[in-house]
Amino acid sequence: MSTDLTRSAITRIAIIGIIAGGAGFFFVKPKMTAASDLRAESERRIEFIRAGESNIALHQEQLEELVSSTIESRKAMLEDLSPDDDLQDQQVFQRMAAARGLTITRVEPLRESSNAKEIGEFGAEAVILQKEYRIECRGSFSGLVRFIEDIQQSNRHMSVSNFRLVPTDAKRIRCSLTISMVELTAYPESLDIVFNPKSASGGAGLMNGGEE
Amino acid sequence: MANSSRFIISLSPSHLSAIAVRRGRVQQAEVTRLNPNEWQAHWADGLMCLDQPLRQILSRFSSLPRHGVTLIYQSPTLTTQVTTAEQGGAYARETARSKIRETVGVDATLCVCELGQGHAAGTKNIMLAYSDRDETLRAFYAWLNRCGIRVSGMIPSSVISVLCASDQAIQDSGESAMFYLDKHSSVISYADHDGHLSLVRPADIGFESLTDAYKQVLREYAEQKGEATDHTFDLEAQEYLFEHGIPFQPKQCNGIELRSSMLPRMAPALQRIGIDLKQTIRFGIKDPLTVKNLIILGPGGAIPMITRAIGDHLDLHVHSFAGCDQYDPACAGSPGSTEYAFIKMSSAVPPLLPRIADEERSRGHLKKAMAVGLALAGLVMGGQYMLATREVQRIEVSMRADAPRFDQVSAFENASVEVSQTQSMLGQIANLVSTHSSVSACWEHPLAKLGEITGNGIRIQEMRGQFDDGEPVLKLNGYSVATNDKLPGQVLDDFVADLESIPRVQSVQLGATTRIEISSSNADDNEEFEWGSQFSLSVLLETHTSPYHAAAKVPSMSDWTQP
Repeated sequence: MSTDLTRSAITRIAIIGIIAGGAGFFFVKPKMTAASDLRAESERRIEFIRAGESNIALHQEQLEELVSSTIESRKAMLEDLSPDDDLQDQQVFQRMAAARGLTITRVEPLRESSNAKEIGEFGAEAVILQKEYRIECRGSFSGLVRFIEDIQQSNRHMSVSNFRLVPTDAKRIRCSLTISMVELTAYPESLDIVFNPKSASGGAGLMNGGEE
Repeated sequence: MANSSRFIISLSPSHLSAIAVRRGRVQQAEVTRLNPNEWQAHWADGLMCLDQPLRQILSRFSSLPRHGVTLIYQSPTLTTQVTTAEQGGAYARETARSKIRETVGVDATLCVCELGQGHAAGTKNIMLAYSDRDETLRAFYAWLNRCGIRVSGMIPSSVISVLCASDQAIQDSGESAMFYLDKHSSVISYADHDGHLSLVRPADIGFESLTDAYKQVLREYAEQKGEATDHTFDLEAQEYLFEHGIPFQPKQCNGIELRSSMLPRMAPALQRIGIDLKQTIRFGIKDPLTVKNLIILGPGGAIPMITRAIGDHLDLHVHSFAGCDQYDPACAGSPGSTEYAFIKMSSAVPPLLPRIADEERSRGHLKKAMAVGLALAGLVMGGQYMLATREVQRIEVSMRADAPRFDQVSAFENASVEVSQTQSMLGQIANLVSTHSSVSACWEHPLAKLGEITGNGIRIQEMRGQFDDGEPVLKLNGYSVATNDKLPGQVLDDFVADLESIPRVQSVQLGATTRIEISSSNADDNEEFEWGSQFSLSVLLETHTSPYHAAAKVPSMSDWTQP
């Protein structure tokens, strides 16, 4: 075989090799890799399904109870700590006092401070706002007692820190109270999303039963 | 050669023919006469002048094979050697190859074939080696290529003569020697009783020397008649030879007395042939007396009276090979011709090819090998691709079938994770609230009870609720007065006892008490004085248990709910 023929043969073999290698690399190998990956994924899914179904058989009821109690806790906490969007605090106090026959003579905001804490994933924060008011009012003692009771039982973790009352006559008193409260002004969005039928959360199916 | 279909092109100085053969039978044969005097000119022209005649011949065939065409040719540059070796096989071949290379050079294209039926102990092995110049072979190759023919091999006609004579000698071994008489050459061969070839001797003399006698006479006759003398009379002479042969009897033909004019001219050639045969048999055969017959093969066997002419010089019974009388020089591939011998030959004849054809063949093989390799690689890759695709499809179908179960398990696992995360977040918010909010005291219930128990001898002047050291304390300032049946001190004692009995009151701490004079107005508006007891009281209350304190503890989920 002459040198030219040898060179030609080597060139052709090289070109064919490159073409075959390229075709293998760009078409066959990715397909085989995809098949291999898919096979591994399928095996992982089968194992996941097997273990998951075993879990479901053992813990389905337990999880449903947990979901239900969690939904209730969340609902109670968020309702209790959410700020009143319709009324200002002074208006709330006025209405509560009026309902108990008291006359508020002064409402004075004393202090307001916020505290934040990182909770959940992705650095989301929960922020609470602490407020303190001094209220001066007049009325009956029994009205005052009911007013204090209303305050202590109302939302936003409201409580009477201290008070001072003096009788003004046989049936009426004058009172000064300091009321403190806590509002949850910000919390992670995920807290609202999970187990919420309006969102596409994975636990929506389980949550429906709990919430309904 | 058992090929079912073959195509042969034969080229000699006097003719160009093409023969289509099927199952060993000549299907079609076409021939064109050439002028032998122009043979040298053809070679000088690179056989270009033969393009047209060959194309014309080929056009007479309805279908032409483009491959597997054999060229039988006469070459001015052919070298042939018959060698004898003590050993057979590869050794004999290498010996023959080496010997011919001493003549033609190392790079020359050559072929070696074994004559006879193989080596046997105590016998000699006769090898035929032949070679031609690459220029000659290339000229043939180019000529055929120009005419659209892909030649698979080129075989010199003298090689066929040798092979035919050898084969026939082996078939009629023992008492018969073979004499293959062609136009330009001849071969003497003999095989002993055991069928082992013992003599093969090519010679340069053929029946052309006899044809020359006819040509001379015909030319002289034409000269006497005053006709043109530039005519070669080749064809006429050959026709006369095969028609009238060796004219031992007086005979007139076209005004020529053949016996008297021919025999003297033929005698030297016949004598040379006879002597050559005699000497060869005498010295070339181990036991010449065993040879009783001489059989004339080839085209020369068809010359009338040739057996007598040669037999006069030998003490042998000379006769022509059966069927030689059917030879027709005007018809290609007729019995007795070299082409016919080649067609009927039982063994393969190694063909010569120019180097360029070898390279082309190598290139063709390389292309085929590459195509096959590429196809195989494509098949393998395609197969792999298909297998992978089917695997992917199978897995996808399986995964689709499992999708509902997978979704159910995923939903369960997600719910587990979300429960854990949500409870953790709620716990942390509760912790935040409980950390930053004060403890809530149970003011309302004690105050409500206090309203019920005061007024009966007890007067409250001031009431304060506050946290002392984190404990809710209700501080009361007031005084007690005597009632109808109780002294102020007793009233105070009852008041303290009542306070202590109120739920959510932890303890009551009585502070300082002071006896005081209390003025009051009677019904006549007269100011009266009575004794009372002023006091200060600290009532320690319980605190509300905040729901956030309880929830502040992050719930610890069971292990199964963890991701």
